[in-house]
Amino acid sequence: MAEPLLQVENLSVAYPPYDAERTVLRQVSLAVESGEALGIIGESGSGKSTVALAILDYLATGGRYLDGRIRFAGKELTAMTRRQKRSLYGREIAYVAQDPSASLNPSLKIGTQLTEGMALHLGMDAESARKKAVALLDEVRLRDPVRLLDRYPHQLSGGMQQRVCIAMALACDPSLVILDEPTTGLDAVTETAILDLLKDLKLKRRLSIILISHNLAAVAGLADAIAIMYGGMVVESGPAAPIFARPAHRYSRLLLDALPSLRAPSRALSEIPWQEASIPRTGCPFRDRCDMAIAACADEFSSAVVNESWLTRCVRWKDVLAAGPRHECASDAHDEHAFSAQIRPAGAGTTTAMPVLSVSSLVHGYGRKRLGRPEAEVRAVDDVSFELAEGETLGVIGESGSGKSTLARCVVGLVQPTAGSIRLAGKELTGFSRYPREVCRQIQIVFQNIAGSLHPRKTMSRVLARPYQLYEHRTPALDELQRLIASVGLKAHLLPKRASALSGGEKQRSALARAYAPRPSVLILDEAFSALDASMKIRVARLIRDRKQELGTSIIFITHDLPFVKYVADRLIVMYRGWVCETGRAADILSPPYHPYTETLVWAALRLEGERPATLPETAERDSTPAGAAVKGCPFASQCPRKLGTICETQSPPVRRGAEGRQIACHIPMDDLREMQLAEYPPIAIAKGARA
Amino acid sequence: MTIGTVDVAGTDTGVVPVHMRRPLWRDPVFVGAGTVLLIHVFLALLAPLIIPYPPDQMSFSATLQPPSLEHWFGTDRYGRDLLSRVIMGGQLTLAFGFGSVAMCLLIGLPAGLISAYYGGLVDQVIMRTMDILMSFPTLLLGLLILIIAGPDLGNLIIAVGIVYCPRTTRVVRAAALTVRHSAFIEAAQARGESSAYIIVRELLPCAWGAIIVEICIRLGYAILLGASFNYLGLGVQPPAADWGLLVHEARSQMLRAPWTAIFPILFITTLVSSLHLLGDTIDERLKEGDVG
Amino acid sequence: MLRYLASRILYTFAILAAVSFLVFAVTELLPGNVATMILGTDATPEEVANLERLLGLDRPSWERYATWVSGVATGDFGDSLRMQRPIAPILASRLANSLLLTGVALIFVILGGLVLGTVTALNHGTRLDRTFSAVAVIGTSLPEFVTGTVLVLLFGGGLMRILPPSGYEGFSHGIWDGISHLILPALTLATIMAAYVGRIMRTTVIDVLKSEYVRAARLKGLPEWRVILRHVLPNALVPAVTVLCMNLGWMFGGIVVVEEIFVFPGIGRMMLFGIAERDWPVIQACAMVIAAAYVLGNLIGDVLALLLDPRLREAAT
Repeated sequence: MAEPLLQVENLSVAYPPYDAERTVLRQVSLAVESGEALGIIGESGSGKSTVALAILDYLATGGRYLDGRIRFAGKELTAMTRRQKRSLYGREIAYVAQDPSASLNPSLKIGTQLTEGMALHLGMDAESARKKAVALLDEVRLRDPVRLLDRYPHQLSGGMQQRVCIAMALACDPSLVILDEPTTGLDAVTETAILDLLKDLKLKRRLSIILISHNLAAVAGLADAIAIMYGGMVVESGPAAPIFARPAHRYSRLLLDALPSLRAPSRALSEIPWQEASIPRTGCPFRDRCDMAIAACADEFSSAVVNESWLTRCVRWKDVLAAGPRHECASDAHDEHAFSAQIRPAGAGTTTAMPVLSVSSLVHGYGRKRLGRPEAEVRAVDDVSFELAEGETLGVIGESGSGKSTLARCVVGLVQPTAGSIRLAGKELTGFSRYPREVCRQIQIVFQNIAGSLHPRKTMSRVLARPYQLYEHRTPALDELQRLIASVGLKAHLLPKRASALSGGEKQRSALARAYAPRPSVLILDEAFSALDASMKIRVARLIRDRKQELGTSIIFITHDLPFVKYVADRLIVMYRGWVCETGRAADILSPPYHPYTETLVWAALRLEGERPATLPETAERDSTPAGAAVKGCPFASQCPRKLGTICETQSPPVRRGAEGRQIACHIPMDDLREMQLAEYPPIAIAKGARA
Repeated sequence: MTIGTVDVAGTDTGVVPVHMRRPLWRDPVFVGAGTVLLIHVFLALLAPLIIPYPPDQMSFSATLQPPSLEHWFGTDRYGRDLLSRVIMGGQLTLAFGFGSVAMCLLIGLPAGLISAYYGGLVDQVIMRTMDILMSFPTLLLGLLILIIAGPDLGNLIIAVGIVYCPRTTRVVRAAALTVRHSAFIEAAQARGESSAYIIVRELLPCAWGAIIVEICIRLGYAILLGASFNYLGLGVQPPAADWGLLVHEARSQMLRAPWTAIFPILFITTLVSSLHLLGDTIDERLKEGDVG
Repeated sequence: MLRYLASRILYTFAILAAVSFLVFAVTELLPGNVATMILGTDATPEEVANLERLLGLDRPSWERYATWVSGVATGDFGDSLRMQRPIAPILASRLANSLLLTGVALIFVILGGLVLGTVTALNHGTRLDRTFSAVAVIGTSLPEFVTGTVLVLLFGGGLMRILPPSGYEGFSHGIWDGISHLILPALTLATIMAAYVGRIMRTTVIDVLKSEYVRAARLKGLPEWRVILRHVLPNALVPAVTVLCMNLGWMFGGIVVVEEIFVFPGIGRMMLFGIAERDWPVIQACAMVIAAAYVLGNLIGDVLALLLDPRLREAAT
């Protein structure tokens, strides 16, 4: 076998003072074959970005190679001079960073940024470089490339910017492109489209790719080989397919098992214990969290060969493999009842019981004026109605700009609705300019922003004591706080710490504890756990379930993560631009008919899981229509893959009702939708059964 | 500026997050500047006890004496001991410095916090008023106020306070705005906290760092501006003399007797530099997120 | 963009109107009777009343304000009480001197601030950088009267006599004579600003150097000079230029002190003369012109920032 295009051997990188604690990469070995894609997977802090920067010789100040070597196309990178390397970067190795809006120079036109590398490396004159730039923009499927050249980065959407970055990377026809989290921050549909583009480029150009991601699903569809990183180490590497099916490192195994999937809705998701102390820098970095750890894990272990190029650093890899392929052991007894089955309260779904919270025809809009001429009212939330039964979990799903967060703010009284009603246990709330304290007590909310969810300068004791002071006018005893913090799985030693000293997961759980403290009847979780790693999400979801059984709290769970919400919610509403396009039981949401918007979400989620061929027409890049802009007709019409015609643009769609409270707002009758969708997809619910 | 660490998946860009830095009180710049400031404050507080001569005592037999063992800083053209005058001048300088900054805070702190918290019309009214004040060059606005009010210490404090309060307001407002839309503020509103509680207990603690920096820097600038007015003869009146007035008095004979100018200049420069260096070091630490 | 410019200019006029009102109000509040001041305390009440009528002081304030403002708008600032002649011609020549002084100072600021700031930022962490940072902090701590005095002591006769400490008379005695009289005052005026702008330039360049788009540019394999010229400087200049222009007017306020130190025949000394002599039309005229220069400086700063930054240009439409 020929030498790989890029080979990293035994690479160790450290930052000052260069001790074990500051060693960010430990004996990393990787190889990228020509024309293949390597996926590097890891949580935040695993060192996966450092690998890219080390290859690019762009370590942060003070970063130093302690050991190892990097070979590219037979040449030793570590032995090259700066000038030699410069002729390589941009020419042979190109880089695409995570945040496209930050990696494009805001004051230069797209055209300039695209062509400057060509002039330098290929010696092209202005005109031919411009021609090539147009061809590149076309290749990354951007419309109207000629006009794009003269635009500035801020005039493009996030997805378009990332395509421009990819085009920029391809400018000098490099043989290797390194992409660091290229789709993080993009919505699922755009993410799928970008990944498809990469797959195409790989085939057409015989391009080698390193794709770095924390998202297993994103990597799965593209990578030929993968490397899983933890604590600065590659814990497992090798061909993608066998590893995904049957990992040989306990960490890989747990990571893969913690991935919620649309396909296997009731599969047991494994839990990985929290990392309590810092990650060990000698021996196996994962051993503190590992359920199979033995004494030998603390010793250094150079890799074991599972099969040719498949390497693992797990001492007990044979035992891990013995657990069998992933999908077969998917039914841990204790979790066979999924959330919904177990938690569904007796009264849910029946109309007799008084709902805890009922929202009807809620509208939140604001008029925009421009030079005195009033524009049509913009509605962030448009005619939303739902009821929340006691103990029920309602999932609200939609992408950013769908109005789901505004809806949450209306319900907790941060924002005054323009019209409609919100009733808590039958009591109307919309009249208040500020809720009475008792109402505030009953409706608690946890926000999305991890960095800002807790006051950074207050100690945990003060944060957690506040609800008692506010609602009960008393200062809680220490043991009460200890019980409270223990109820979300945190240790009491965190109480005297300030929020700024906590990790993201600890902060979000503390915020959760604070929300539970006054025993609310409704708890709203607004993307509260979206930024956590998959395994943490599952832990938190489980926590919520346990507390719910104990307290009977009703939950509104707002998220953009379809597989996850599927896993936690009883019922779902799907929102698009402030408008509810579909309502139904969570269990039914995967059986057609779908609203065409839900269909694109499901399609994108399945694509990410690598399960479906592209059957939907690729919708154009999300364009300029601002979120919530007033539209006549169906708000989804311009993006809809199943658009009927002008009727969609001129008349607002009727609400069609199905079984089990299913509602869809679409011009296409439910039966027609079902027929169309069944023709293209084998029914997913049945597929699950068939596989079992 | 974000607060604390974010561990959103995929943010590890390979950059070293926190420097292994010395604590603030072991930073040589901070310690040096702090010591200089403390010396100035002590000299000013203890001035009446340590000055060797009454500052106004003239001696026509000993005019314009160069520095000697008897008169460490020499004497001025009326034979007054310059060391005593410089030390007493420090008292005056610090008095109007602190006085003006207190006034800035008195106006700027509530105005900035309220402006940031309420936003909208309240914010517009407060900030546009401040804008009008800021549309004058600092020295000119102070001059105009002093012309109306007449030259004395109290008016000087008021003039400098009014000139600089819009800047303090802006700093406080900006600091409060960085956290105004944080989830923890929204969470406080959602759980039914009063506006007063949120402003005082949630916004203010986050602005403290910026306020301390502002006090240091503003104190420096207030002293500069006040001394400039005194130099122009529009502030405190002789025979009392701050350092600005001392430099002014030295003008006519400064080429013959440079010490009359050099010592007050040395004092004002060390004091203001130490304040600016302090403010700067603290500010840098705040940006790195080191100061809790 | 044009709409934004128009609204920005309109705003500038509104501020100028507010400024004129304040300036007028200030002189209205001046203690003491103007006529008595001119005539001396032994004047008879008839003489006082006569002069007041002559000066228009018997008319209501708003009427005199209207007269004054319309005069200012057409370049007529009234007559000086002390000098007994129109202010406008004197003001014009004094203003020209002050503008020249500020212009020379601006050159020093650009050289000392923008250039040094960039150079030190590119050498971030070296001894040069640390030295500059310390010097810059001290630079911002030096009031004009201190810098001026020190410069005179060093170059104007104390230590050596290279440059004249006072006595600017324009360029009537030759170009070098004019320039040599400008250098010390201009340096004095420029010190604080150069230090201030230099520090801002330094931090901005350092920030931009850390940005992802500079990383992207370097990883394209571009040579360092190109990265700095094309990617770093255009983005770093925006805040520095904005600050510079905002403080152009501030420098114009500083000339009051500088002109006093160097006995420079500019608008600042004219104002101090007005204050000392209680010559309120002179105070009004000078205050108005200095304030207008400040407001215009801010306007220019905004427009320049707009031209430099496409994002702002977009947002402004």
